[in-house]
Amino acid sequence: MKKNKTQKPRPKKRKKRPSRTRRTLKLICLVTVLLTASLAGYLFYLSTEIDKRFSGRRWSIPSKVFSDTTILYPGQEIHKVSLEKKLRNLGYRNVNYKPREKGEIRFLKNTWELFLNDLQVPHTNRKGFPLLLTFKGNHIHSILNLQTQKPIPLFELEPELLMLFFGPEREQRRLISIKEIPGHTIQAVLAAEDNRFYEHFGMDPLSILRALYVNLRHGDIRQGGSTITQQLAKNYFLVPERTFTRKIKEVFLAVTMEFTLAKDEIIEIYLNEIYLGQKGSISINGIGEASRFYFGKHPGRLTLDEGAVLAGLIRAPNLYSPYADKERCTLRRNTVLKAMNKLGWISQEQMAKAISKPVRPSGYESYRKQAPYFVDYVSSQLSSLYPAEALSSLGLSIYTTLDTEVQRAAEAALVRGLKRLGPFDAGQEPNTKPQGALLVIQPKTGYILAMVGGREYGESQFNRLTQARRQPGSAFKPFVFLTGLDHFTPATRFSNEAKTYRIEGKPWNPKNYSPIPDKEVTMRTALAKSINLATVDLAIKAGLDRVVETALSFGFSSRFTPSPSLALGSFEVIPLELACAYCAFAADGSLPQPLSVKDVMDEKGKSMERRYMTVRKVTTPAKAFIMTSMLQSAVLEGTGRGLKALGIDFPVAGKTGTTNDLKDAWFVGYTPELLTLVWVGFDHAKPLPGSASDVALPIWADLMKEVKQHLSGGWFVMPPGVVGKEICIESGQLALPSKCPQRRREFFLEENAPKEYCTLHADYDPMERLIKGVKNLIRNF
Amino acid sequence: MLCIPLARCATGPSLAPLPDPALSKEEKPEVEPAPGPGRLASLQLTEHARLLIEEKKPDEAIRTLERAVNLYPTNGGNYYYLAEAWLLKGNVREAGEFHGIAAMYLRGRGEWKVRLTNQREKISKASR
Repeated sequence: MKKNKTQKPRPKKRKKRPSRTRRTLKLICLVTVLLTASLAGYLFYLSTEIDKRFSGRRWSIPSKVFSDTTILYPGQEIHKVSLEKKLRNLGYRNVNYKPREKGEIRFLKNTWELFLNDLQVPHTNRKGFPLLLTFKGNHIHSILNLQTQKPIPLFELEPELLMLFFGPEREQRRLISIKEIPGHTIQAVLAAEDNRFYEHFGMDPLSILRALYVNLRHGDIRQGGSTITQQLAKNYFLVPERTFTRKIKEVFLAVTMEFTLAKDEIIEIYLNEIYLGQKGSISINGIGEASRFYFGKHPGRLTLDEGAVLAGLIRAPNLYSPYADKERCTLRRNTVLKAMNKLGWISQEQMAKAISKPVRPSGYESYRKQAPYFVDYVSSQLSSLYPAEALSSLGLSIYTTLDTEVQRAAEAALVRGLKRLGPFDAGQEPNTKPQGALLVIQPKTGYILAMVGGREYGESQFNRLTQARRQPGSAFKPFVFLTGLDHFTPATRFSNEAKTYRIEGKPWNPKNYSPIPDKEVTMRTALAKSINLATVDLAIKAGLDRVVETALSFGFSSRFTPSPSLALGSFEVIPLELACAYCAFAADGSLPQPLSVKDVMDEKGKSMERRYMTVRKVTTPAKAFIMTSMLQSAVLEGTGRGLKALGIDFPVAGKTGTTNDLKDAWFVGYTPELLTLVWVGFDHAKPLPGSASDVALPIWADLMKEVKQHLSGGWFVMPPGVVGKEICIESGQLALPSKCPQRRREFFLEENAPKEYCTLHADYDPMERLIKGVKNLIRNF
Repeated sequence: MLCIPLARCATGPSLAPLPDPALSKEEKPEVEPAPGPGRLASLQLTEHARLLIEEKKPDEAIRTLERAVNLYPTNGGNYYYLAEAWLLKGNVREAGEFHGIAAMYLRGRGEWKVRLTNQREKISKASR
């Protein structure tokens, strides 16, 4: 049907416009939904950020480098001053009562009472205990365990901290679990910072209102309303700026944290995170480190009053520091204690007792990199294992072989030795002053006990023991003589007459350092008196190629040319290599690998790297013994004889070395327990004021007198393959007791010991000798 | 752990110097004088290391023996046990090096003869 066009159109249904209020409501709803969604998204983002931040490594912990531990035993000769310094460095506190707590010590005249700290090093986990050390002169007389009242044969002192591998933030922190912190210390922190911590949800409106009221009343900002969670959020995630936006972010973060983490987790992170003071350029963070820094103890042993001091520091660590102002610190501590009492967390008596105690910080030594050249050497050893970022963040513990007492003695001996050079040392520009280097190593194990690579690390970090190459001069001669032992004996005579040799077509005329009248000298005398002409003669006869072979087998990395001047050390060596090569003489012909790093442990005490003494046989024990015997002659009769006058009263073997124009002065000397190398010279090859005997030898003697705790005074045991025979000095054959005028005891390798008696004096008539002697006497008279 | 209950306390005077080798009159192997305090302390460590080897703890034993060697470098027992520890760790080369040193210091010591022979056999067997 067709629609009737005339039909009145039905009125269009008029769209009803929403009222303004409705529109506004809708808008509000929309905005609210959007805002809620955004907020939810933001909170979700924050929660993932928090999760990400806290599920991984929370802090960068610097790795620590430790010295070796120290063994003490009855009968040991010790240097009391040096041992006392060591104990102080280890944090032992001097008290005037019988030590009650770990780390306390009482020094009496001939007895020291100390309560040992716990010792936690690889392979050893010893609980601290009280002990009594008694002395007799410079010796430890006895060691008594005061807990068991039983004497003990030896004990170990903890290693010293040498260095921390800091990252750019230079923070020192010792992580602890909440279970290790005494309840009263946690309560003190809560009383000082946020007493409703366990009641709020990250922000505390009550606190904010209270802070607002206090601040309005005083017309000044006296209180902040931040909760512990907010403080943590601020420290962890936000930049320290005072803006409204940051405050809002802080609140959001705090609330999200409360949803993400348990209350105990938050307080534990907070107690490890908070900034609690400054040790020089290093910031002290967390209760664990602060407890050590202010009271020299593990946080588990903090008393109520000490815990209150640390809690009081949080507001302004450097203002309330007991090191800055003890009085202000005490007032702040008392405020915290009173707050604890008001909250009902401690009784009136506990408060009164804690308030009556004086604040007694333990004292500290500013952080200083100890044994810097050694630590650099250790770093270079570690660089192949760990990148620098790992060392400054993973909190590794690196245990080394360094003996801090020997190191300090070595540093002091070098300083004194260079001062003795008088005008040569005084008043010169730092870079033109004479330099020196000192290495102390245990020849059997290769343990490096001390390393001083230069006179002043602050002026020059160039390690002259490991990075320099210097001519060894006569200090190289022992390796020439060792080569000669294959065919000759210490009694073999060599020419002491001047000769011309040709090196690369040019004439070379070696000379003796001082005139020696004899035309021939024995091998022993040639080495003892460092006679150049006889040494070159020996090297030529032994074979220069073979001398090079010997040197290479002893670990020298130098490039050797088999020319006659090689015998006099006319090439360059790395001093550390020279010291190690000498070790083989002191270690029965076994060359030790120099050892600086013993163990690397991760934060949880798991072993990451372990290095042991390793040796490589480079010559026979018999040859090593004969070399030591000849080098002992160098100290008794030769260029090292000045040692006796310098107070060295125990047996020593060693060799001096002075290079052309007095550019280098060396002395390498050893006993069965220690080998020490001393080098003195200029970086720019200027002449020194004297020879090695004048310049290097006194430094060696000076040091050895300070480290007697490492020396037994014993000597080497004659190994198989060596025989001792009485010989005629003139012929080198077996002596005829009634005929040979000059005889001495000499050592030989079994295979080339003389078998025939002296033919030179076989027909000598003793009566004729007596008459001749009388005639000479009358003539001289 | 280097804090051992005392078996024999060393409180005597310091070690008398060994005779100067250049003045030795005997051609037979030198006999060492009675051990001094350092050596007594070292012997305690050697014994401790021996127990650690029995407990199959070669790493701890080696560390202890390194200490003992420093205090008493001529005590062959230290090298014997170092060789044992390295054998436990399966390093025959190191074991051989230390066995050689031990054999040198312990020559003529009847009580060590069998042990040294056994050790030599163990090393040669392990190196095959």
